[in-house]
Amino acid sequence: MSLLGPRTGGAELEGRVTVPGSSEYGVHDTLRFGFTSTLSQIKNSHPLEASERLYSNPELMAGLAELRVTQGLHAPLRLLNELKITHKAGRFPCLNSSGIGTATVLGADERIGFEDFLNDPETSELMGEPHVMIERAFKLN
Amino acid sequence: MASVSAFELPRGGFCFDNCRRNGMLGAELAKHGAKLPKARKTGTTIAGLIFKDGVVLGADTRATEDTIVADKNCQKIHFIAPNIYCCGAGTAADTEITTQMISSNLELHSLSTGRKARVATACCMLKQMLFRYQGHIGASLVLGGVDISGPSLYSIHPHGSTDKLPFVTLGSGSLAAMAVFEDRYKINMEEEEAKALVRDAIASGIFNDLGSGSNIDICVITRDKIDYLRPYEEANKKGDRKGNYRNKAGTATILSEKIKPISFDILEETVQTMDTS
Repeated sequence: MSLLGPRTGGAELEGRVTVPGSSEYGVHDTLRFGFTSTLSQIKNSHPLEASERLYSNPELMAGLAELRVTQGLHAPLRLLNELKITHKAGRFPCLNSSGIGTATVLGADERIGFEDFLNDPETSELMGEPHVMIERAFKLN
Repeated sequence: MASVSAFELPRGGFCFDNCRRNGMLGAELAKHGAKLPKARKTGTTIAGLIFKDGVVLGADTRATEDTIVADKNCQKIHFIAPNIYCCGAGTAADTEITTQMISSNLELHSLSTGRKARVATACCMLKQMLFRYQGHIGASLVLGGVDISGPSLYSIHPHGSTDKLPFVTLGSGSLAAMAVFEDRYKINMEEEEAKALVRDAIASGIFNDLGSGSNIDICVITRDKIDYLRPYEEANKKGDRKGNYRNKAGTATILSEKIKPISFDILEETVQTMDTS
């Protein structure tokens, strides 16, 4: 059940749209997940939606490529190593983590962006389903 | 409380959930001949020029909402760093938030490097941010300041293009202001001459453009001092009222007078001590 598939931008459609929020019978669960619309799954409602969702990864990769050119192959490898370590540190997947280690490695502690005061995940009113998320994280499903 | 599915956890930054709703609302309203409300723009004249010792920035002070004046005295010259100021035209909220964010970023950057901020750094941060949002953030900015490499002046457009020039104007009144600059600008002017020229350029924008008006603000930045003159000149002063419609006391004759005391009983009395330590 890959919910990340269709919404990563129109170009990445594989000709298949999965039912969002399926529970037991493979049908959309309106009570828990709200009304559904296949069009809203495929089409971006705003031109920036796709580019914003995918922004951080290419930015990081471009920075690492620049590092490789200026400082040698070891620099991006060390940084990626540190990132892997800091990603592992944290609480259970359903609980909020401050992400200080990751932020320090990425240099995000010296920057302020829209993600710091708009829709801060620390103040979000929603949480993921703990059982599903932990099963996924520990690969128990 | 509804729980979100396993992977669609909320992430920070812009959330586009309401865009679909707005689109549907717009279509519904269009059926009845109405329109969605528009963001408040500043409909502005902003200008800047480099003189002998530094930079002079000027702006008018009117904010419009289509054809209504939303703010008669708004502040369009924003603080970026102690030696860098920025005039903003376009959508008012966008210019405010953009300049505040860049100001915070520049402060963090200068704390981390241990050096005073440079105008080129601010310009780079602004253009990268505006390009990332592909012009949807409607902020046209005139960025000026004096740093270790001397005075600099940049004009930054909403899609992320920048120009480094000796004199710039932006906003709806930019053509009127640019006409004045093109006529009288000279290299290495004195401070008073530069202030007068910027004042004339903004006044030209105020009197010839409907979107600009009210007062003229000026900011003079040199290596040693910052002069933030707000307002520098009240170009559009509201007239003084000549007549008075108030009636003098005793104009109405009192025909009769009746005084009626209102009696009340005290039902309950409580004493509450205050902690004044």
